[in-house]
Amino acid sequence: METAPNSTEWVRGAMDRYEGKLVRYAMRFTRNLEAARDVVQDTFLRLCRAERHKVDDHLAAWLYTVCRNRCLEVHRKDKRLQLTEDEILHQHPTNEPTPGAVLEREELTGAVWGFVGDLPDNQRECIRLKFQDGLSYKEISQITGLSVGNVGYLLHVAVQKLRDELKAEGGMKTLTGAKHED
Amino acid sequence: MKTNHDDPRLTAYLLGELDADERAELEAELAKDPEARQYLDELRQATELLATELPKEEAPPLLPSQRESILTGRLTPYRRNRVLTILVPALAASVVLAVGLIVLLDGERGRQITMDPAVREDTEISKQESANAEGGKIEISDFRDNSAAPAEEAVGGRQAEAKELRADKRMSEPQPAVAEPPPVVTRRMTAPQEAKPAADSIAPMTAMAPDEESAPQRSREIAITSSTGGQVLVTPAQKAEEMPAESFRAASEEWNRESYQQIVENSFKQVTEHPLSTFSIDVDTASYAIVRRTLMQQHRLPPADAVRIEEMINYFTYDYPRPTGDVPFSVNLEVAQAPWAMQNRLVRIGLQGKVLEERPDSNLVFLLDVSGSMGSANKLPLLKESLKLLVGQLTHRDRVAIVVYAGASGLVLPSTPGSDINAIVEALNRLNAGGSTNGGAGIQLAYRTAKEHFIEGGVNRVILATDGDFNVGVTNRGDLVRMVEEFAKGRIFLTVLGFGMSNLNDQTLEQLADKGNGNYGYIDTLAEARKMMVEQIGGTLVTIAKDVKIQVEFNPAQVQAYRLIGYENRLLAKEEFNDDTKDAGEIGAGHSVTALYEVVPMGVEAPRIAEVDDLRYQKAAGAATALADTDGAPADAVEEIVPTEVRHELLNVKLRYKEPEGTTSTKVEFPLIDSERSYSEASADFKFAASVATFGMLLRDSPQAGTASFDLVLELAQESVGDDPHGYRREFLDLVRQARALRQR
Repeated sequence: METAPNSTEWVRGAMDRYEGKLVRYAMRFTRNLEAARDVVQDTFLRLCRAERHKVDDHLAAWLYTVCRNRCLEVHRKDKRLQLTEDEILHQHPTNEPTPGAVLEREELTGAVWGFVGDLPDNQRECIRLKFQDGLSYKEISQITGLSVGNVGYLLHVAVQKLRDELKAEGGMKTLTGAKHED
Repeated sequence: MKTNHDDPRLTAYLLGELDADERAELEAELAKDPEARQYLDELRQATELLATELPKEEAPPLLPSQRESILTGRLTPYRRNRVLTILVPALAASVVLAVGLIVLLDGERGRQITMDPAVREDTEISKQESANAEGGKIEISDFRDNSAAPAEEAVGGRQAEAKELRADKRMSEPQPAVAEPPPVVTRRMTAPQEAKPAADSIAPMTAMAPDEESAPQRSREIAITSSTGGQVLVTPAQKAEEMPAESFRAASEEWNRESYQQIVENSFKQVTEHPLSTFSIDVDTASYAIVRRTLMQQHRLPPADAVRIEEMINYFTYDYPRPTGDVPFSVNLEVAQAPWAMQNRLVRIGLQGKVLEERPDSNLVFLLDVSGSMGSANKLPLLKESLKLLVGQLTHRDRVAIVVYAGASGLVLPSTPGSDINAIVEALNRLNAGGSTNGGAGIQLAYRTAKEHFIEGGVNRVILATDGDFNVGVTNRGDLVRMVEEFAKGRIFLTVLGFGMSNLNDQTLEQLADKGNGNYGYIDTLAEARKMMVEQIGGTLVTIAKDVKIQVEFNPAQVQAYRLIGYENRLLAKEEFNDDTKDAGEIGAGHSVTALYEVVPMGVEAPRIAEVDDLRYQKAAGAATALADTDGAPADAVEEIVPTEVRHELLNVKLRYKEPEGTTSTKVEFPLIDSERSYSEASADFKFAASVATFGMLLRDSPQAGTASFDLVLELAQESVGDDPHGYRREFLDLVRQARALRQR
């Protein structure tokens, strides 16, 4: 099954582009930076062994799909192991957030994350893949196994919800006059 | 036909997912349905908010060892912790789980991690960092002349540490009965209790509750939140032309974490009371770029305190003649009517630094902020491209090292010859944003690296690039500033490059650059990077004169009152002019520096100046005040004061400077006689500088702006654009138009 290893440059390029996003993506499943990094490392190792011509035209979707499957596998096994909350906490590496970062995170939470967090799983995943990772409906469909139509529907429903919330908070600009501060 | 709100095509349309036919069809439907268009616009706002906010979540890179293992095709099980390596059984289990079979192939435990030098450096710093955390102090090892800590630090420390994030407006309690602002010198702001703006200057800060504070000398910190609060509603996404890929979110970050030092604008001073005006030169240009970004990218008027008029004027180059003699800069004086108050005179002092035939060898250490907040398109990606421009200017005689800081700091590129562009560019390409900011350890490592590769007689410089929330973490700002100062004495200078829209802690950055004998630039576009890194690289890197101070003495026979335009945070006490221990600004090779004074000549109506009572025991001042008002008696009085041979002079400009390596200053003097020129007779450079100053005053809502308007600025600037080879002056016209449009709303 093993084909010639792919050129280092190609893998390096893919890594430069996607490693951070994939780690972030994986953390949604693993909830743990170390485990997420391991999954992503594994994903790229698989990329080294993949047949390049079969991957090249949909590299992003390929990486996300492999990464997602690895996460789900790990997750299934993880459930049997049942790490305690405390053990998970202790696995955080050194660059855990200092108070500044935590603060920043909380500010974001206040704005949109609360909304995202309240979405049903399938909507949330589509929203993230679309707006956080900039993937197309087609790519999201490939990664999640949902149909393209379904992806479009889930995204629309989620965006509608956010629109409703903004409207309710009065945070919506009217079509004519943009709100002006200062 | 009504378009259904639940039609998924609406969102697909916004996200560019419809093909041409579907799009046309939907647009035709929408054209007939205003209500649906309104709904679509609201959906658009929701999508824009998501596209702005979601990518801000941290995207941590792999560990260097993991990358290495991927590229070499070997799996290196990964280190648990950079400092501690005690293995917890649970962890071992999770490693096995996470990487599955492969780890088993690689040997049972595989703790034999191959550490590359960079990683080792990393670890070392982490240790040091934690040591610092306990000690609470930056250690400046192996640098002598570590003068005893001034008492101010004891106070500055704690408070500053806690609040750095939020804001830096510091002011003390109003001093009763102070009629005019004493010099406000930013450089001293480390010790908050030293800053004493005049009582009346505090008025605009309505955020202060009057009785909130009892101790009169205690300083306070005010969070400036011109806040968008919880709702981060955004302007329509807009293209930051240089970085199309990620421009989507670049346009609309929050404003509310930027902080600017309050500027109390210089007022008119009576010559008889204050014959001397003293200040340090300033070659910074950041304020102009910040103003540009606010106007053009955020579509709003900048906050007044972000507008430093001298930095706006100095953003532009002027065609002053190059120096010829021993003095490393030429001094060019000009005087004509002030365009916003035609009865007054406008005096320009223009310095032109010499241009070096050949740039000296340079030893550069990039100190780069790669914390999570640097992730957006107008930060880290722009930073990388900017530095690549700089690297393109280097040769084998130069050296470059790269230090990054975030949660941990590390040397990602050891000092490397400038000709090895591949290695440098590759190291830059590898950078990813992730982790939080801790500048303290990074800056130590950067200085240490610069010192190890010190080039005698060359340029030795740390180039700090950050979005400015320079959270010094283990140390406090006082320590940091002192360290920067110490290294500047050791001839390692600091350049600060600001990036990005939120977070920018303008004051800290300016202060660091100032203390580090460096300059502070703000990079908002790749074009700005090109200006600093390519066109003006000499000025950015090579200092030709340091501690340059200007003192102007006005002649009471000719001048009633004067006002220095800008330089509010560069003012010096008159005694400090001759004090060589007093730090001041630097001039870079090829830099030009311009200062403007508005002067009220004798014989015109005097500006209103807060009255000071006549002195009871000294006559001179009181008698001279009378000069301004009457015509008969004063002639004699002036004669007493001013010797005949210099009576016709308007003013005398004195400059002090030191050679870059020197410790004692040289003084040069240039008297100026007013040739009574009208504004139309002035040079194009004079007019352009005047128009920029006018623009700055309008943006600041200055009471001194007189009859000025944005239309006037346009008129003045248009006629003085000149050759403008790089288009900077024409771009200025765009800024003025934009400001005019925004003001009209």
